[in-house]
Amino acid sequence: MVIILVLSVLGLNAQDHAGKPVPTYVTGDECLFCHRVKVVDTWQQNPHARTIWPNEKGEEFIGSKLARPLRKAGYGKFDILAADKKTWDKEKFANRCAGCHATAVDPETKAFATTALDCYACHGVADPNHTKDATLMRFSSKYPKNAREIVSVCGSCHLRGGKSHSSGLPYPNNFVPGDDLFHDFEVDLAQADNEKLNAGDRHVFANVRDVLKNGSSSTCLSCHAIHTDSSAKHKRVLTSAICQNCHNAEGPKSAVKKYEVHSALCEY
Amino acid sequence: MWIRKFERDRNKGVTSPVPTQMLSTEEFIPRPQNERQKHVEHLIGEMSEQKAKKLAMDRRKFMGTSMGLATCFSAMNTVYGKAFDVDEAETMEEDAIAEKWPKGEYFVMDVQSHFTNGIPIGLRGDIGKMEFFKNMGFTLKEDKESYSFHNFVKEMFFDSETDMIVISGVPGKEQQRDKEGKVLEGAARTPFFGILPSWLMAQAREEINALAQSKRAISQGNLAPNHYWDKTTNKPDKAATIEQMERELNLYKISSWKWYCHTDPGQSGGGFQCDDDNAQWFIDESRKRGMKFFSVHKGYSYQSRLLGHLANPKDIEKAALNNPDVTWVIYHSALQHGSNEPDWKAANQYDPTTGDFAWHNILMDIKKRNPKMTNVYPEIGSFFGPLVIADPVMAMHGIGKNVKYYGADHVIWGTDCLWWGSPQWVIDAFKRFQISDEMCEKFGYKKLSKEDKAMIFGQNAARLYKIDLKAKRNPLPADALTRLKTAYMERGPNPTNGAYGWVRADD
Repeated sequence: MVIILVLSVLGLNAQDHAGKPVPTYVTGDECLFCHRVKVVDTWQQNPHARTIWPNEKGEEFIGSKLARPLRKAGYGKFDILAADKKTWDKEKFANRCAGCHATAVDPETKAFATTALDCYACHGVADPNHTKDATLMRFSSKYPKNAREIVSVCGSCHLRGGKSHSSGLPYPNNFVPGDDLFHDFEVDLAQADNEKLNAGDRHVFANVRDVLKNGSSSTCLSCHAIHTDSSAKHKRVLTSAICQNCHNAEGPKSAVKKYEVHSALCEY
Repeated sequence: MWIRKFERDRNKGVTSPVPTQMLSTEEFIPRPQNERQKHVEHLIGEMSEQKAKKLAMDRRKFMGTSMGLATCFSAMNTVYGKAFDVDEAETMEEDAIAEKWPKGEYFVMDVQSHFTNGIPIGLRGDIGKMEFFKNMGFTLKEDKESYSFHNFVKEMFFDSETDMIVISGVPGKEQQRDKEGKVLEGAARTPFFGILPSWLMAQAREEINALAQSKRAISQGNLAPNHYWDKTTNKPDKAATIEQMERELNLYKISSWKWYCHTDPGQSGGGFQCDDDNAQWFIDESRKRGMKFFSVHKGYSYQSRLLGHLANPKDIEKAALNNPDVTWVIYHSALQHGSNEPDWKAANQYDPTTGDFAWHNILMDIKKRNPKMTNVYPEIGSFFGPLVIADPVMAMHGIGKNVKYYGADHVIWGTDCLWWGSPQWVIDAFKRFQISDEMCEKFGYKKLSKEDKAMIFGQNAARLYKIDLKAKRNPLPADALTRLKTAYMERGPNPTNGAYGWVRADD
């Protein structure tokens, strides 16, 4: 296996928060006070909003399908019910899950600021002047597109199998959108060619590699509309080799290869 | 597809000073115009055309008069049955209106009014582009000025009969110190974002009252139990909370707290409930300092990402019973969702057979269970207005139940403007609004008397806020807007010396 550590050649801002305190940011409920008309209705149903989700009794679970029960254990801490469904594991959530199922994990305490993914997880620290100038808001429609920045944000969770160089944890160390993810987060981009890997994960690696190594401007956002949880845009993309991650080389495009996702880290 | 309101007006040539379909504030997604609303709109167009012609007036100009407004209510009566007191003569003679509805008949105190810190937050633009917003008699522009304090003063005091306002808070907290530990002041307290922070509400209040040379405005404070959080103990940072509490009480001179249980600006990891231990600690500390007035946003929950369930009013029962000396004003009458939402009936959000609305019924049940509880007050901002446009029968249920269970002496007037523009159309609607005989008989509601309306419009709020109804309240001077504009331009939209300005006023 070839581990590729891509250093800060991304053309992003020089900011890097690995090991540093979580910056102050505007919380989602404050964002939604203004953005509720366009955002709220779809966001509540979005898988990104449901990485931790309560059942009708208010008990919290990991994943939108309520896969594993969680139990609050102090500020920014969860115990997670072990696979035996009897014992509560006090370390696993912080050491494995928090980085991608919660928001703003403190590097020192591994305590998260809020459950599931807050606006900050993708949009970063909001510039207070973004209300007057939308170009200041990361990933707004007017924000200048930077392919490497986009795959950094998406890849911070979707590059499954990566590892923080500084913390050793399987999720980035206090990654803040705008940071160079790959400065500290080690990923094996050769996974893009691993036929044994499921098509979904392989697709992510292939796309990130195309951006980082080949200068591609096609990113996750070229095809995926995050807030509306739609991939309809991908039908407009020209056919290329990457399509065959999911589609057959021949035959109707509507036919999609079936695949299963398994993860030792996530225990499924 | 959305089109701009002014484009739609221009294309269709229709104007109505009363919205002819559901509008959205920022707090819910609008639903499409229904058939009866279309009928109302058609009638308004037809009737106004005829009446304007008879009066030899331009129709658009006619709709800008009180006769136009009367015509709207007349059209709504035709479609929905008699919900509004309007005579035919009022649609043709302004004198008839002036005689029947004399200005100043009611003392109007709006406990839910907002502006922003010079921030065009997208609401009016979003609202204005939606089809539902068509046919209103005014334009809601989406720019900095539209949300400004200047426009706020214009719409509240110059374009409406409102006598007094409560500048009401929105979610957010203040940063107390800089990195060196120096206490921050004014705009520096909200360096990251501050839609309507406590310091600004207080400053605006002082400016209004100084202009009027009398008390026309009071303000609330945003502080809540989860705003300053000790992440080590996972409990409120009591020292920081007390510091902010004393600042808001003593320096900002707030008249009520404004709580949003379902928001977490302090990144505490959750919201809170009015009956939990942290809230009780806050109440006790506030009580010690003489503040026993809590205004709580309930309902309209889903702007919260994860904490919307905490906007359910169920916690008010224990909080009110445990703190009988505390006043609880429940904003939006706890209406969970706007009647305009596309699936609210399917989701059983409104039951036409009983007139129950989700979460509003919980607030009503609290009073039913506790008939002797007298310290809870339903407020009707973004409650009466949306319901009366959606269907006046819904408004009859909403107001009917509030009065039936809590009493006319406990229902509090609020509008949620300036999100809605000027509150005048809501004021006019409520003046003329009446619950039908049939509804009173079937559901046990009470006809609204002028005395009831006087209490709801302002006497109740005045009593709670200890406002002297006999005190002289001066109109804002004619040049007030110019003076505000000049001050605003000189100061800039986000003044770094804002706090100093209002502190000097207090001195």
